[in-house]
Amino acid sequence: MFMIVKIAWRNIWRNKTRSLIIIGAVTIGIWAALFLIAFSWGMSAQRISEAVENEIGHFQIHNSKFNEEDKDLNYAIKDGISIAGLLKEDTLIKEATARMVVPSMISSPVSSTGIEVDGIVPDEERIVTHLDQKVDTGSYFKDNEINQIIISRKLADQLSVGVGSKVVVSFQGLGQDILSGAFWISGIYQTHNNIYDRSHAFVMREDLQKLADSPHLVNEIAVKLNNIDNLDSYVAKFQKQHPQLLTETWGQIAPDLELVNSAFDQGMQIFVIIVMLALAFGIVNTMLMAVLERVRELGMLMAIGMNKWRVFAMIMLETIFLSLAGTPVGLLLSWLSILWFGKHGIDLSIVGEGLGTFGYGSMVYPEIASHFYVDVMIQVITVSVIAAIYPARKGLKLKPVEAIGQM
Amino acid sequence: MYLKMAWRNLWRNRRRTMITVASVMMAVVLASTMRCLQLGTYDSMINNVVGYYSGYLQVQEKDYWENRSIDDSFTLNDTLKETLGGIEEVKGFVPRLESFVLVSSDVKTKGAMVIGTDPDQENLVTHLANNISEGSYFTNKEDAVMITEGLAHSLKIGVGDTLIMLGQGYHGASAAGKYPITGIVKFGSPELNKGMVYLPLKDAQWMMGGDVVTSVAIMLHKRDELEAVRKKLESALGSDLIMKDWKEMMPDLVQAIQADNSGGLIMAGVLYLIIAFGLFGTLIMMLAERQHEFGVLVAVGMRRIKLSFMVLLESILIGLMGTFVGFCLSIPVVYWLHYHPIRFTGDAAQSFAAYGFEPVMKTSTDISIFTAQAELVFVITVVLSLYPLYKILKLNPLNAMRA
Repeated sequence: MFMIVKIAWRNIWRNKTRSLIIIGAVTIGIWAALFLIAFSWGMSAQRISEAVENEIGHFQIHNSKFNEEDKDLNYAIKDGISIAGLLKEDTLIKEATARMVVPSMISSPVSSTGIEVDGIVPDEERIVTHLDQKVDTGSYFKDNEINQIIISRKLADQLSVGVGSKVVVSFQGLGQDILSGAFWISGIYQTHNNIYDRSHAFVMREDLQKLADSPHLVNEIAVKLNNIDNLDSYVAKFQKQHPQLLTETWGQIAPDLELVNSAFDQGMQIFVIIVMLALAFGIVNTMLMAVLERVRELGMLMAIGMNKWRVFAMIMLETIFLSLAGTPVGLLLSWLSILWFGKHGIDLSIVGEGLGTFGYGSMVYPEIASHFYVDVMIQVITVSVIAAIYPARKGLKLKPVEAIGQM
Repeated sequence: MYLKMAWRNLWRNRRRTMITVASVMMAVVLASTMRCLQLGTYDSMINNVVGYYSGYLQVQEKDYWENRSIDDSFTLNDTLKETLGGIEEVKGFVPRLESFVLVSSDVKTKGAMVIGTDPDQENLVTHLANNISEGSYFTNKEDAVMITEGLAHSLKIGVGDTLIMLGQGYHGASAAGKYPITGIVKFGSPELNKGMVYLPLKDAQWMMGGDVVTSVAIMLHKRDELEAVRKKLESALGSDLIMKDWKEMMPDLVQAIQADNSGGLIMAGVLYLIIAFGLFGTLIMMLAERQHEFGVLVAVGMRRIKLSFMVLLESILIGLMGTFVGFCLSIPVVYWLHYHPIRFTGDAAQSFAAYGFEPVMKTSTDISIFTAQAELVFVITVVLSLYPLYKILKLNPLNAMRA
């Protein structure tokens, strides 16, 4: 056996061109698979971090009867403002903000539509959702002015309004009455997420509370931790302290985020399979040529007493050595390119607004979990070994006399 | 003469030629499959979304899309109806009157989109009757409405209860109405499911106080007939009416597709790289194998340039054969995947179902994808074969013959 290993090893160095081709194919195969995974992973991760950092926050607190579709004002958080105040003092918490959110109808002289109006505290929202950074026209909430509203660019276009225009917000208060109030647009915001943009408008919490005639009413608390790694333990602790409240992490609030990602992942696996097939076919062809080119040599080996299985083993071993040689190069190349693009990003900004529909930013920063390096490495080596079987079988079928005669 | 020589050379070593042809063929098949899978996803996405509500094309008053105001509406005349009915590419069309109003039950009030539409024609365009989750589909005969599930839930209202609507009607008239609920409609998309009320068109017109419609949604048999229908319809529209196609009505969808496609192109690029490498490997092996032969030819006086021309011809022939076979072979592969699509499993399947999409990856069978991929692979083959040419031009006959 050792002799076969030695022969195979020497054969590799005998024909450097062929060896380099196979090593190159394995290198590129590993790189392609890893890069594809990292690319799609980067797109998903970006979506999640965008939603968590700019929309949802790390976790949210509601009344236990509150439901997302409804957002009924009657299901308020009792002592919500003081709960938020206590959370703010916790050293693990970066910021906590209590909101009054209400499904409303917003009307301009031209048109009207349904939207969720969030009554917020401007300074806290700066930290929790970076709302001030999203305002691109007009200004963020100013002190000492009442009934300001910030709406999205999309909504402003639909209502044909601009900064300074008046809009009317109507919603059902605690009773059955419809309450209406006039608001003046102080700023217009825009995010990457068109669905979010189309359904959110912001006013100051005190204005909304005054309109509803219930000065301390809040029905949502959004919290951001200093370190998101503490999320699960902190939420568990908080739930124990406040069993009467509904405390949910971002994953529970927006399960579709993870679901969409898992759909993307499966699509990606299919593409990785196609890449592997292409790789396998490249290797089959090169090895097949290599075997056919060496018919005479193999025939000679057999004629002097090397049996067929040894010929088979020799060819297989050659392939295994070659893939093993290609692996570290491929891994290094992947690691470097993912590192580089992970830092500098891949710009898809030409179609940036389209990316907005899915909630993606236009820059994609590929990233990858380290276990994929091992997974892909194993897959590629397996594929190349399987790919070598057919050419090696060709070697098995040779008849020494005919083989030597051929040239 | 060169062509003849090249052709004979190919058949001299049949096995080698076959292997190279096979790698070109496989490249075409894989590239076509990948692109058809990617683009196929968009096809079903478009069909799904368009079939929900908007249709492929709508006729509207020219300012309606900007303002969404019921005052920018129009009277549907018989000429337009007859023209639409006479176009064979049109599968169905439905006039609608849409407006945003407040709707209430006994206990709650919410804003909702009210859609006055013809029950039968609506079903032809959007298959609305399939989305009934409770109660029965509305008809022209009774004055009753259908509401979406999300709305029913938040108004705490169900089949048999009464819905009250209040809003602004045509030209400032106030619109108010009271209707029993005959059915609950369930949409996959949470956006649509949240707040829509379906009402027979004549009731909506009576409630809004105007015999008008805000849009006519048109469904086609096939998406690529859009331009033809546009042309045929043009003359029937007066100066106040315009046509909006799905691309104009849903720029988000178009851009989402473009964006995803740009990601898809990056992935395809990675695949081409592997394909190119596979081909390159085969070509280099061929070159190595024929060193001796080339050396002899140059030694006996064949000009290098002629030799390389012959080898180029061989590559082109191989490329042509490979792409042709690959093209023919990818058709059954892609069609098979079209009728036996890859199913998503687990969480992903749920996420698709939640949005009312079939959880499958279907391939597109657009023939232009195949030709584009075949052409591209052919170009890659020819470009790659420049390397052997270069090698031949620098060939040293003595060393080559010794190899």
